[in-house]
Amino acid sequence: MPAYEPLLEARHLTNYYEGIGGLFGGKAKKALSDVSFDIGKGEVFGVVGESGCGKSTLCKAILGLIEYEGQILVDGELLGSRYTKAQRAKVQMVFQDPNGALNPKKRIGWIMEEPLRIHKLYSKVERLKRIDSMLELIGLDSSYKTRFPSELSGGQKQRVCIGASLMLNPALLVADEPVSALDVSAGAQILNLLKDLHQRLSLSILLISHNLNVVYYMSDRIAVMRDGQIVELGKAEDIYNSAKHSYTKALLAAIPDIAQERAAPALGAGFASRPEAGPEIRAEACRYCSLCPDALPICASESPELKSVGLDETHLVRCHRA
Amino acid sequence: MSSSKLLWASSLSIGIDRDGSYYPAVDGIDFYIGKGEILGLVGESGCGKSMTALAITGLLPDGVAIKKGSVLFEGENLIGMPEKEMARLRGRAISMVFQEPMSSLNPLMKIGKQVSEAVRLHDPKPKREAERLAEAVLGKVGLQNPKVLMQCYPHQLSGGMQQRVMIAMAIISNPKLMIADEPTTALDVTMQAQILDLLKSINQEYGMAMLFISHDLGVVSRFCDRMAVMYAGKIVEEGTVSNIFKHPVHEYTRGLLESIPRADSRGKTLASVKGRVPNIFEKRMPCAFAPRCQKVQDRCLKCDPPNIALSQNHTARCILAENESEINYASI
Amino acid sequence: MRPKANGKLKVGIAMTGFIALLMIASFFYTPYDPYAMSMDLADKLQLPSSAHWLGTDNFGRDILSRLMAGIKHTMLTAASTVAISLAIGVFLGFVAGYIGKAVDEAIMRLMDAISAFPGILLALVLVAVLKQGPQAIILALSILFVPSFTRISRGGLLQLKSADFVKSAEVFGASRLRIIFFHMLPNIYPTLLSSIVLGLSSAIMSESSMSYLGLGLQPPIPSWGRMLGEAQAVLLIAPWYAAVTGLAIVFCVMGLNLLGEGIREMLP
Repeated sequence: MPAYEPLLEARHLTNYYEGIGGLFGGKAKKALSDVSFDIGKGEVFGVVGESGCGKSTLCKAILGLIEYEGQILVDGELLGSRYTKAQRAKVQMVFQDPNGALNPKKRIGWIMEEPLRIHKLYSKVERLKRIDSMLELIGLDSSYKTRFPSELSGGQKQRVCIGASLMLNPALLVADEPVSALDVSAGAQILNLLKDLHQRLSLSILLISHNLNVVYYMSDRIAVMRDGQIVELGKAEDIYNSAKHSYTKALLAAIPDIAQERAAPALGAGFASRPEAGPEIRAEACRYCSLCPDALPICASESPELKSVGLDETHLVRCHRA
Repeated sequence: MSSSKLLWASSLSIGIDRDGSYYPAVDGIDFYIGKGEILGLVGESGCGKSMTALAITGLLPDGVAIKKGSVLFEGENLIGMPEKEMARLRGRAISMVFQEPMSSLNPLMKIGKQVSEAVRLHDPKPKREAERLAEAVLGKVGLQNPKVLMQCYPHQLSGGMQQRVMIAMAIISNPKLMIADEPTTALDVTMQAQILDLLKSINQEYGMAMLFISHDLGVVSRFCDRMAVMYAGKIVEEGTVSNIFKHPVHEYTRGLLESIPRADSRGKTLASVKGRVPNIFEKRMPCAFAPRCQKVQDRCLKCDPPNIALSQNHTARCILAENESEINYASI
Repeated sequence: MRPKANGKLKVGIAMTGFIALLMIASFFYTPYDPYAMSMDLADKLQLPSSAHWLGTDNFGRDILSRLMAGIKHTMLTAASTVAISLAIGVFLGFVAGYIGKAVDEAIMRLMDAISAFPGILLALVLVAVLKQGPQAIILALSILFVPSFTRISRGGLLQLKSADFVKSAEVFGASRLRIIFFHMLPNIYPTLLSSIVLGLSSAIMSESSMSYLGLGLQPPIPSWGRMLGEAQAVLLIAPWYAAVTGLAIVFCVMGLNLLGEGIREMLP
C-alpha cells in the first residue's frame, strides 16, 4: 500500500446561513461549523448524514460555489475565494439529479466537449477522439454524441455527467448523492462505474450520501455529519462495525438492510419513541444531547471535541463518552 | 380462503388510449390483501405500481383508464362503482398516504382544522367533538403537544411531522385498508424508521391492512408480510417476504436484490440488471424482461411466461420457474 | 420527444405566411400603382369590382395595391421596434438578473415606470421633439416594449441560475458570459421567440393606431392605420374601405397572435 498522501485538506470550514423561521423560531445558524478532514490520493472518502447536516454545503464549499471561513488546500495549494481555472479543473462534480445537470438544448457531444473548450485544451480532432474514448470508458458508445439528453435514460444521463466531469482529468471527483435520483438497478450500475473509474484512473472521490450502505460499499473512510459538525470519522469498517457515537449507531440501526435477519434489531431501534427534535438547548451543549440515549450531565453543559479513540488515531469521535 | 381476503384484484388492466392505439400501464395483474396484512408492491419507476394504487382508489389521472378486471373490496367491486359511493369509501374504509406530505396538506389551513375537517367529512359530529378526536389522534401518531400543533400551519412542521399528520388524517376514521405510496421516500433514514415503526404499530393495534408501495427492498423486507414484484405492468413474482428474500426465482427479483449495496457487499461488484425498464409506449416481448434477462431462452421471446406456483405462498412468472420444484425454504 | 405542433400554431403559420407572401409579392407586383392618384371623379371610391377587387379610395388609388404595399412599411416599423427593444430588453434583463441587488432593483423600477407611462403621450412628446416620421414612432414603441423583454429574460435567467447544468458549467470554470450565451440563452430562446412574435403583433397594432391618429407614417406612404383613418372620413359613402382595411389589420394581428401562442404552447 502506498504511503498516505493528502490530496485535499479542509481546515476549520465554517459557513453561516440565515435561519428560516420554523416552529421554534430561527436564527443565524452554522451550516458548517469547524469542519476539518483530508482526503488521500486515490481514496474514496464518504460523507454521510441526513438532510440539513451540512453535507451539501460542504460540497459547495469545496467546489468554490459559496463563501466560507477556513481553508481548503488541494495538492498543498491553498484555494482562494475565487478559484483559478487550473484549480477548477482539479476538482469536479457529479450532481444528484442527472435530469437537471445536462443542458436540455445541447447534444451529448457538445456537453462533453464543453469543459475542454472552456479550458482551451487540444485541437478539435483531438477533443473528439477524447470524447469517444471517454464515452467508451463510461459504458456508452460514440453514437451517443449526437443525441440530446432527453433521449437518454436516467442512468445513461448520469454516466454522461460523470464522463463530462472527467474530461478535465480531475484529481478529485465530488459526487453528491449520485444514485439517489436513480432506480435501483441503474444506481447499482453507476456505483459500479464509479468504483471502476476510481480503480482505473486512481481517482479520489468525495462521496456524499444519506445512505450509509452506499457510502460503506464505496468508501475507504467515512465521516458522519450532523448539524454542521463531523460527529464521527474513521475507516469504513470501524464506522460500520464499531461505531462509537450514538448518532452513528442510530443511523446504522435505521437502515433497513436485507442482509440482516428480519427479526434482528427492531426498526429504528430505540429511536421511535423519542420526540421530534425539541427547542434549541444551550449553545455550549452537545448538539445531539437532547436525542442521545446515553447523555451524561456534562453533555448539556459542554460541547465535546472531536477526539481520537483506539490506538492508530484514525477513528475520531465527538462524544464525551468516547 | 376468500373470506380472509380484504381486497382482491383480478386481471386488472390499466392503460392509455392514444392516437388509436392502446398502451398498457398495468397488464392483467392478480393479487389480494388479507385482513390486517401488509402487502408490499415493489418495482422501479414506470412499472405500474402507482397506477395500481390510483385505480383502487378511483383516482386515475385523465387519459388513463381501467381496461378490464375487477377489484373486490369486502366482496364489493370497486371498478365501475359510482363516484359518490367511491368517495364515501375512500375516506372511511380505504385511506391513503402519499410520498409528499407537503403537497397533500392545504398550506393555508391550520393543522387542527384540516384534521377535524377530515373527521367531519365522513362523520358529521359537532366541531368541538371533532377537534377533541383530532387532538387525540395527533397524540396517537407520536406528535408532542397536539394542542399547540393544531394551531400551526403545515410549513411550520418538519417533513416527518407533516407525514405524521397525514397518517393521523388517514387513520382517523378507522379504515380497514391504508394505501401508502412511497410514504417514507421523501424522509431521512432515521425519520423513515420512526414512521415505519408508527405504521407497523397502527397495523398491529387496529388490524388495519396496508398496500405498501415502495422501490426500497430493504424497507419492504422489514415491513411487509407479503410482497409482489412488478415489472413493466405485470407481477413477476409474488409471495411471502421471507420466501422471496430467501429464494428469489425471477431473474428481475434477483437482479434487484443484488443491486442494493448491503453490509456484506463491500469489496464486491454489485450485480446490476443491465439495460432499463421499457416505457409504456415501447413494444414489449411476450416476457417483457427477456431483453434484460441473463438466462433468456428462445421460448421467452415466443410465448407468454406462465405464472408458476412454487409453493403455497410463492409464485413466479417465468418459464425457468418450472425447474424450481419443491423449494425447501427452511434449508436456505 | 419533440413537442407536437398544435392547432393554433398551424393556423398562425398559415395566416402569417399568407401576409408574408403578399408582402414579398408587393415588391414585384401590385395590381395597380399604389401611389397613382386619379383626378377623375369616376375613379374615386369605387365599389369592389373585377377591375379593383377591393375598390378604390378617395384619391382613386387601388385599395388592394395600397394594402399590399403597406405591409412592408408596417412590418419594417414593427420589426425594427421589436429588434431594438429586444436587444435592449435582453441586455437589461440579464444584467439585472445576474448582478442582482441594487442594480436589479434600479432596472426593474425603471421598467415599472416605463410601463406606467401612457404610450400615446410618449409618442406625442417624441414626435414633437423629433420630426414626425418612422424614426419617432420606432423610438417611441421601442421604449414602450423594452420592459416586457427585460422581465422575460430576467425571469428566465433567475430560473436557470439555480439549474444544475448551469452550476455544472460553473464548476467546469466557464465564464459568466459563456454561461449566459451558451448555457442559458438556448433555454430562454423559445420563450423569447414567442414574445418576439407577440411583440410584432402588438407593434403592428400600435403603429396602426398611431398612424390613425396621424402620428405615424407620413402620406403618401401607404400605412394601414392611416388608411383606416382616411376611410373613417368616408365611412358613410364607402363603408367597404374601412371594412377591408380593418379586416386586414385584424387578420394580420390575429395570425401573429396565434403563431406566438402556438409557439408558447409548444414549449414544455
